[in-house]
Amino acid sequence: MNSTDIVQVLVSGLTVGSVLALVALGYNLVFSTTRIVNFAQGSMIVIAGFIAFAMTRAGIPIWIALVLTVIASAVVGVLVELVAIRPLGRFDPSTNVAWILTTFSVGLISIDLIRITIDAQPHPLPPLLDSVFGWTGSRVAGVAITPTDLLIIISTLALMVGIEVLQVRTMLGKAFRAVAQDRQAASLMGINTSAVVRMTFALAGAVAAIGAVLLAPKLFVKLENGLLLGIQAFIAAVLGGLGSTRGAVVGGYAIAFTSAIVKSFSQSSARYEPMVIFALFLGILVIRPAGIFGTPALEKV
Amino acid sequence: MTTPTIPVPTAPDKDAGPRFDVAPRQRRDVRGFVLRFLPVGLLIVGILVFGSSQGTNVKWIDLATEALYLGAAAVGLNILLGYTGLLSLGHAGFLIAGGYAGAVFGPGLMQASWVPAFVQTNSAWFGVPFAFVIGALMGTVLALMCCHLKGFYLTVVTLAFGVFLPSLNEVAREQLGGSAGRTVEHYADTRNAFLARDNSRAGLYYFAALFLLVTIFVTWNLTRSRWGRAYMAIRESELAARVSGVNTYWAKVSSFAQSAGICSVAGWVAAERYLSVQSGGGGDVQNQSFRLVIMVVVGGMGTIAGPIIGAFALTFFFGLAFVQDTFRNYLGLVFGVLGLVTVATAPEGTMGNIRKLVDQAKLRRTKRGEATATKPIPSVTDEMGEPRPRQHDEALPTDLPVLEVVGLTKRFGGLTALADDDLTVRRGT
Amino acid sequence: MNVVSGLYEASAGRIDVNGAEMNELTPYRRNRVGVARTFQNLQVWRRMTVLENVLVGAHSRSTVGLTRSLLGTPGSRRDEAALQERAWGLLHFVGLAERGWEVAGGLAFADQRRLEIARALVNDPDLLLLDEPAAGMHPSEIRDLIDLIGKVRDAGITVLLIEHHVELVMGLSDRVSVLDYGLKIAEGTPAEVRTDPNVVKAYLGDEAVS
Repeated sequence: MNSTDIVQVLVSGLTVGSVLALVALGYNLVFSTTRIVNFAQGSMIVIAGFIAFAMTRAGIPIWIALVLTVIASAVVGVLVELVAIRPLGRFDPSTNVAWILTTFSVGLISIDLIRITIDAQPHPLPPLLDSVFGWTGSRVAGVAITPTDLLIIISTLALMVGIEVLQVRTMLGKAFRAVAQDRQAASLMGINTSAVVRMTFALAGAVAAIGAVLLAPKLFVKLENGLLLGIQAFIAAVLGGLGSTRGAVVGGYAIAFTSAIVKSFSQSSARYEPMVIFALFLGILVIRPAGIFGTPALEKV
Repeated sequence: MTTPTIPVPTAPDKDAGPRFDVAPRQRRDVRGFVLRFLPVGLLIVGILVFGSSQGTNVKWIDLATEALYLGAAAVGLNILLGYTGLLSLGHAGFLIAGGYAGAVFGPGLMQASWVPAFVQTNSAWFGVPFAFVIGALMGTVLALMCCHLKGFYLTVVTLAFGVFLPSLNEVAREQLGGSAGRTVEHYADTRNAFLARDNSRAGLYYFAALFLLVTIFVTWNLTRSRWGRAYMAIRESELAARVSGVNTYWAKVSSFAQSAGICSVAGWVAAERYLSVQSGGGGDVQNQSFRLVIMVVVGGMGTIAGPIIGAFALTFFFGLAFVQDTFRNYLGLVFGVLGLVTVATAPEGTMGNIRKLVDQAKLRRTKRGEATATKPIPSVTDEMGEPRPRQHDEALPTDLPVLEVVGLTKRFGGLTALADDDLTVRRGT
Repeated sequence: MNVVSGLYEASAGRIDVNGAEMNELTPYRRNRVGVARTFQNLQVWRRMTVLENVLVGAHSRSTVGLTRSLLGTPGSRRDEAALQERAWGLLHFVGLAERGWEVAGGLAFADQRRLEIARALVNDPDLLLLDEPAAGMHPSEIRDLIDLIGKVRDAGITVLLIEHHVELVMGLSDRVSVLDYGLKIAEGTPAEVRTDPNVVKAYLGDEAVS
């Protein structure tokens, strides 16, 4: 490996890893409270992206559009909960997997609705940061680095810390964990459990909006992001351990760095990259069935 | 459900120890017999009528072929989803794998130079066994690596399988044809005069029909065997299945392998139907798998007729809709809405609701005092009703304790539930 | 009991059945060795029929492989008939034959417990573990249960039962061990244990061997 390769691996590992982690954080928020995975998370990113696109096209500055999109996307999150989870009533998510089908359905429906009502074209969004103190990007050993890359990396880590603090230090976080452990007991303790669940979906929507606006300069706003990016990020979340916030970030980086390293070997090694990642994924699940940072549930008899 | 009559055993049960007396032969339940085989009979008649009347209409016969192989794939998927209770969102991958396996190994391998000349053939039919074996093998390998996982983690692995599968295409680009896919030899293109006789589309249609019937037969047998019951037990409570002597890991793997094998053969038919096979892009496998799952759910999980009804209804519905090609854009929308509505309002699907109606009708008739046909309760000899201790090959010493526990300790985190306990249980006490 | 049936791994210690160590055996292997159990919180397969529930208990009695089952060979049918006969027999034994075709989830609580016992007995166990069989039952149901367990014992099957219900324990057991917070505080015949000062003092958790 020469220095270009090393820089390339570092840059692409960090940026792609952050992209995956950013999306994975949304999965985690919902899972850590409800023990379900919102398979519509990828579609929520697409929806948020289209909302932001509509706003910027109307001439709203990107920073204001970001704030508005976060709010709108939180509402979308609540809607997803209303449509996909609420009708199922009370159920044990570990044995009854109907929620996989309903959240998946909502994801597909929303993508198709966008395709029908708006269009299927990829759309650009202006970057949040053009320059940092006049720095508009540079090349290190022939590898391009832009302020957008830097922003993605930093905001992912900031979001991770923010969510951890929210979960560990605040009353809301305590309510989240109480609902996750035993919903019935939590509701007996005076926690409005359905409000807490709704809250996590709203937060997941907000995270999706931040992700959508941050990623748009790199990945555009497009329908294909929904399923593919969604599933890749989801695999990252499972790898790191669903329910663990730092697990999502570690999982994202693990996949991104593996992929970057495999790609750097030779021209033709890129074709083996998905297989290597799949093998890594299976391998980790064989050793730790609940992911790297996941805690397996104890079986009660 | 299970056979209402106890057939007369003709051979003594080898390992059960004492022989049991022959149970009195029950009168054949004619009405039950007819009701049981009526749906299959109707299906066969329908297939023959449709085949003879529409055999030359390429558009309809192709659509029917599609319905038949999707029906078979849905029945196969139902073994995993409906009976074993495991949700896979990667089974469309096996349809693709089956198509490729049949195309690459079937006629290709049968023409290799080391195959004796009189066996050599370029007939695409030889792809069928390869599709089945390779599909089942892939299913086994995938299942071996994910069946130790709890709950939806298994679904996660199948999702990942769908992401990874198209990349195989890049690895073996020469054989599989890259992202454009590869063409498949027409099943009638063969030097064998007998096989080449029928080159109409109807040949494939009849094969698909036969395949569906075989799938029904196999699933029927499965649900009435110890294996099918073990699968259902895993669905209901894996814990209880484990302590009841079921190797749940192997049961899950075998269920996975069966459904993968059946889906792969369906994939071979699909490849012949389109005369090409491709792996699709990112997300395609998941989308198709989801549609297959919805077919099963809409029809009714855990029944044989349900998946077939679901597959037929949805295929023909879209067959009509495809008159205008723009409808293809609505696939996700329609299946998504169907999935949402079914799961939320009728989780037991069409068949489940039919069964409910039948039960309610029965209940009403019983309330009105009319006799309803009930299955007879077989009576058995007293000997069969006696609990028996295990018969051992060698006589065990009488003073040997059945259970001896020495220094047993069990801790849960910081809590010690058992501390260094001894327990001896003598035989027959 | 969970450790003996293999659902939990022992932190320390050894478990022998018929003189053979089985710490390493998985739960299904232990069932095949001759250890069967019931659950305190019922674990019947609710959507299967009563008969099917018992038949799954007999899973390892048959050696018919998957392929033969799928093809429905005459051998597999014979085997199936033998299993069914035995299953019906045990349903008669626990008094559930009349409801054999019904769905197990529709049975009353006490009947589901009987069904679990039938399911455990169908594989001819050496040792039957009953985990609080009387939990949540009426006195009359408990009396029926005592009769049933007595019949099982008289048939020569060793029964190990965990129970808080004193009448049941004292009426059935040959030997009683009393556990208090994981420590054995007394062991002996019911009469001995009844007068044991430790037991009278603790009188909390008790375990009985019959």
